[in-house]
Amino acid sequence: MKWTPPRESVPTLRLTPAVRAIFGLEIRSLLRDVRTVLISVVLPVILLPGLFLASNWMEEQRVEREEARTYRFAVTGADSAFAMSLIDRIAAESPDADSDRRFRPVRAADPRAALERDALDLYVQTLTPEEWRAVEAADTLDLEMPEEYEGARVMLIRFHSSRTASREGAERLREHLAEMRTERRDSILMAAGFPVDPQEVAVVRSRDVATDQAVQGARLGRFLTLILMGLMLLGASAVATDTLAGEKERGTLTTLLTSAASRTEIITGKLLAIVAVALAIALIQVLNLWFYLGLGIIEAGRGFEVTVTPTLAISLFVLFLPVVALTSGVLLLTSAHAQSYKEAQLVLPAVILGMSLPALAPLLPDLSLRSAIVLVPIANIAVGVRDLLIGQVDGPSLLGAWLVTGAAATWVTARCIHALHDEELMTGDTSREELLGGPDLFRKRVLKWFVVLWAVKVLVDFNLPFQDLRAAVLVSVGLVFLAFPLIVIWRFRLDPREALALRMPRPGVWLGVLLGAPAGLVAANFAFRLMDFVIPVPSELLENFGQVIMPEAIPVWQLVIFLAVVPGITEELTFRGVLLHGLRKRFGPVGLALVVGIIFGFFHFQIFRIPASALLGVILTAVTLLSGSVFPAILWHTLNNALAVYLGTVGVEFGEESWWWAVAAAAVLAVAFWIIWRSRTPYPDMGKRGRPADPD
Amino acid sequence: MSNAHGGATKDTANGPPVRTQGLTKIFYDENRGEVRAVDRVDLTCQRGEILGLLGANGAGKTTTLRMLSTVLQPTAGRAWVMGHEVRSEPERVRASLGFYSASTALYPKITPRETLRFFARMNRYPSRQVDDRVEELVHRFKIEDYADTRVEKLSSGMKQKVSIARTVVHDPPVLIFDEPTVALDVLNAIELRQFISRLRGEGKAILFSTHIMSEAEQLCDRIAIIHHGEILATGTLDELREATGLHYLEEIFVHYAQVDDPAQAAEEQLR
Amino acid sequence: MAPRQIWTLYIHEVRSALRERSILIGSIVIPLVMYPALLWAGFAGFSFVQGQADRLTSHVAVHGLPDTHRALVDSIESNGRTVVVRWDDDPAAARDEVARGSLDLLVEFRTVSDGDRTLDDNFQATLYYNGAQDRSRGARSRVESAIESYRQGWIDTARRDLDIPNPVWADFAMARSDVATIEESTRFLLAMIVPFLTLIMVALAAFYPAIDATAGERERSTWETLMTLAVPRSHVATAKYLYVATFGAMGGLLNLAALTLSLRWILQPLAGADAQELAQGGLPLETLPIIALGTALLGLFVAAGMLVFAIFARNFKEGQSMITPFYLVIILPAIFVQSPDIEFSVGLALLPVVNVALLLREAIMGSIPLLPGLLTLASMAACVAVAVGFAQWVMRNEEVLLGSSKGGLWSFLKRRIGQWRTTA
Repeated sequence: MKWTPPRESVPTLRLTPAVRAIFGLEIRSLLRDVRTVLISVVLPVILLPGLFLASNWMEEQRVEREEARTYRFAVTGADSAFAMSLIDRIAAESPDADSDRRFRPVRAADPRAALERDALDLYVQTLTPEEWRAVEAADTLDLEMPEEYEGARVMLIRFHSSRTASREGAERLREHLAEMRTERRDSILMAAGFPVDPQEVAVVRSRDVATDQAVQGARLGRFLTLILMGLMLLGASAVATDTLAGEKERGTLTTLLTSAASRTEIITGKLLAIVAVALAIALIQVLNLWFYLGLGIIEAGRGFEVTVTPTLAISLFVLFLPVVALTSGVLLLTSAHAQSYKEAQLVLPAVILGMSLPALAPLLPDLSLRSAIVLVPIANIAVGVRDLLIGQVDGPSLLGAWLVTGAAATWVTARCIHALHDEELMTGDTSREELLGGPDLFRKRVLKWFVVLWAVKVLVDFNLPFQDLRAAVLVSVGLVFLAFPLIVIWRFRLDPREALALRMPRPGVWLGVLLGAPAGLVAANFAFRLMDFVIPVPSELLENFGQVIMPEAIPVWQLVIFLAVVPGITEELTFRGVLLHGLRKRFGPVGLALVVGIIFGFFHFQIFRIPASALLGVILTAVTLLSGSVFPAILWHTLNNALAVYLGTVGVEFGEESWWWAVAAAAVLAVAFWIIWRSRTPYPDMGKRGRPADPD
Repeated sequence: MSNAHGGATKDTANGPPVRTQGLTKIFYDENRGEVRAVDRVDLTCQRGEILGLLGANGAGKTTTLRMLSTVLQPTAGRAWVMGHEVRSEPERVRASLGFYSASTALYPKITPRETLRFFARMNRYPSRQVDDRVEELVHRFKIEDYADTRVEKLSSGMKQKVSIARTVVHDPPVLIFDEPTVALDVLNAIELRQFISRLRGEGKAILFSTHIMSEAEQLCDRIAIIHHGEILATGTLDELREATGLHYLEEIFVHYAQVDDPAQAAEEQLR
Repeated sequence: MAPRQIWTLYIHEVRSALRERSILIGSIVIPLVMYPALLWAGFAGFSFVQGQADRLTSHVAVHGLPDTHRALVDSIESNGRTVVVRWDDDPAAARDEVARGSLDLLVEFRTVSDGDRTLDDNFQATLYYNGAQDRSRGARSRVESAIESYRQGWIDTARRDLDIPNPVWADFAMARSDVATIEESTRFLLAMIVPFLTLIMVALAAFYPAIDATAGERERSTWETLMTLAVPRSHVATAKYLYVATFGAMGGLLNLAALTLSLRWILQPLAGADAQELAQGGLPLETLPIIALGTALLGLFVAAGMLVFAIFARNFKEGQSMITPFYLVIILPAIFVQSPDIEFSVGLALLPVVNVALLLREAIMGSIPLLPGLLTLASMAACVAVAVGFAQWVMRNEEVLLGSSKGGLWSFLKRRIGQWRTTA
């Protein structure tokens, strides 16, 4: 008998009595849980204005301190009388009576020492051109001297950047001195017969043609999605974690699952409850803030003065709907996958962070909705909301954004329904794999281990203390990707031969590899160019691509070893070795090639390099699957990198070739694969085996 | 919307309320290969009959009952509840049965009355009659005194009453009790058994799983002995006695399960 | 005997916790994975935007530019990302386009001549930009500086024509020099970040163990087993307390270590190009003992506080909602300590938690004022003593021990006060 997928796996929104009953139950349970209501509703209502008040107070304090601050200074050098007179004039000309004593002269025998021990905020060293040259030669300074001043006397302001007063004073003094110099020059010019006041030459004025509404909208639009997401997550997470994970813990889930309600109805009811709570809490918070703002108890920055017309409000609501649904869905899914309330709570911070990250998109300047961002759920709506508030609506893109996020929400909801069908997830039994460990457990854990490996690799790459390329490669590639398979083999008691696919392929395969590797390199380069259409690559990167940093000092044969052989061997052992081995039963051959390839791509951290690396990864995985061995992939990978190194040192740049090259590369690649296919030894044990064989 | 009652009249004429045919559940295990938790189980349960599933822990009782209640999907074989197939009509199946086990807990934050109302709606009881039905059950189970107190504040005996009322709130023709007395004290267990007998009198088809021999002897009309996922024998107590020539159910069970040394068998079971 | 029993109990607690996957994941794996993932996402977003911005050309319309100033157009276009078009039609139409966003900037020139004192072809420029658009604001500032440098050049030519000699014109040059060493700059940045993070991390790391040690026991029904042991209850309490404090402090330090590994990349936006050098400095070694001491003090204090709240919890969920307010109360004030200007005064040294944050800041900056430092130690020690004493007093209570106490700390105190009144 054929296993039939559950009938009820497509979410439909029908308010059946069961949906309403679940919705009512969830809301009622929440409202009766006094402590949760206190924590997720009352506490934030009190805290939020408190935070505003406190931060306003902090800001006031800061401004007050800044205004009251005096800068203790000293002047040294031959020209100190002149410097002193300039600084005195700052005080004299200041329109603000309070600030005339801002710069307070202090007597200091050794100003440098005084500055170091905080007896002085800054001092001005007046230098003749000759003295300056001596100082310049002796000191490593942060200089800003345009050429035209060559030969002029110098005012050197010395300060200490770790002290606010010093940093600020130096900056102010520099501004004042520059103003002073401009004034002096203007009078020199006038005296020499310049016809007009130099200040009136080429006067520039600026006028903002944007409406006040649009400017305010732009300010608010940057944060609106983030703020609303934050408020929603704040309230909805408590309900969401309690609802499925909590039910498992309390044992009510079985009761619910044996009732006549369908899984779809259960999820719909719960999702609606989370959405309602999320919206309600967000609304309460907005009203709460509005109340305080209205009373003038707290002052928000500009941006909260946007006039919200009914049309705008409705549009915003419609735009936010998929975001709310997606957020609630992800929370519910998290809950469904946790065995207990505690487990759900543990992963929640990571989930919340991950969910809020895309909402930061409108903070990025110059990001237009008509770009790859439209494909990123939540981020696209966030950018769309900003555009809407500015008053610039790009209809098709906005619709696309809505559909993408809506589709994501639907998919997540379908996953929730699916999770309710997952027998292991629902019964919560410890699987045998957990109990026994070993290779079976590895299949379950392989992806988690790769997540950790990824993080370790990021940290290692970020913190490499070596300047030398060879040492860096040895550690960040050689050590990491060699140690990982070994640790995994040891920890899960794997058979090294099997786990690393150390088998001899049939001889024909080698020919295919020799033919395919160069074609693959060209193809990957075209993938990189293609990528440029979707996500524009910064021009510097585009220029640098293909030219690996080739230090002159290292001979070519060493470059080949460190950039081709070492990564060729170790990366293959990790990705086409243990990763492929661990995933082999989970996907079919096409799925395996794609998944392993994409994971491989993500280990090349720059987003622009990911597609090209992923393509190479897919090819290498395919080669391994066809030959049943890791060795051809090692050779291919090594050849690929060696070729890139060679072209780099010779100075051949990719990018100028015509598209015919891509076609030719594809053709050669096809031939190579045909050869490999002819002499294939399929990878053992592959395919979907997670499900029981059908006894009928 | 056809609820349990509408569906029941159509199908009962055709056969027993509960029927399984070659019902099988295989858990796939990478090391041991297929583990047949339930192996080709054929069962029927008639109206007004209590069918006891007798077996040790892990014999496959719970898995069988979970498949009948559609919490688990059968790997092979078929099962019908009131003529509805568990795979193709899971909702109708669940609408026609009440499921009670030690792991079917109650929602803590709502009151017994709300609990009953909630489950009546979830089980598609005609909405106009929900309130009457709930009041009837509140009266029948004598939970008036605490019908409006939150479940979390009730004692375990009170919770049990509410839980049983919850099971029958939609008046299902089929009832499944999966080791219901496991966590109960003597008095509560007796009360529960009495109630189950009464349900039989009302013409319900009842499946009752237990590992307690005396319970099975006392309560069940027919007993199915299940061991390692297989039904080894089915029949009334007298039929089983006749077939084996043994008197006590415990002996009969040991006879069928072919356990020579129970201590050693228990040890094996742990692995 | 007593220390031995406490030690045994303590080891028992720590061992179970280390085998508890959720605690391990919460305090080690998640931070380890989270920081790099966040960093990566940040950089991916950054280079994505950089790529986008690279492709962006600003469109600037110019209206009424006198022919003699044609060179100005080149000056504006010189950055390669600006395209200048001449706009000879009605400038109002161009202004509309700027408002709509299809044009980034309109520069309207007007020749100026007032009276007899005139400069040939002097002009006034008005920049019409759209304040709601980032790219328009960007174009405005680029054009502003282009015009400014053009003006400088113009004036410079004029003063040469007027025979003003170089030395007179130059007048004086300015230079700045930061006497702070790179190490000091690192310290400054770290002093802003580390104390606050330490506090958050300690509190976070103590959070789950505190619930585990109380509500966890009840959930697993091991609480009564523990109570029937032949040890005084106070030993049990002490061992649990030490366990939570250890995990708080250790977890805090581990988190801090994981974070320092990513530090260079966090500092980058703050310090720009110097980040590379900055992060090489890292945390000054001599501050480590102080950081360890501060972390330990925080651990001891936070553990006592959390236990007092969590002791009433019967399950994880309750424990969480009982502790959360305490968590917020200790975290929030510390946010405001982040400001570099707040002085480590005697008054603040008496304020628990905040004082430790300040102490850590001063330690990282290189000097600890003696009196506030000692006061911090004294005040924290007093707080820890009070909290521990209070926790012991609460735990001595029978209803709390047996878990029959309803509600949290608040209702417990209310009942106790009620009892005390009736007896008095």
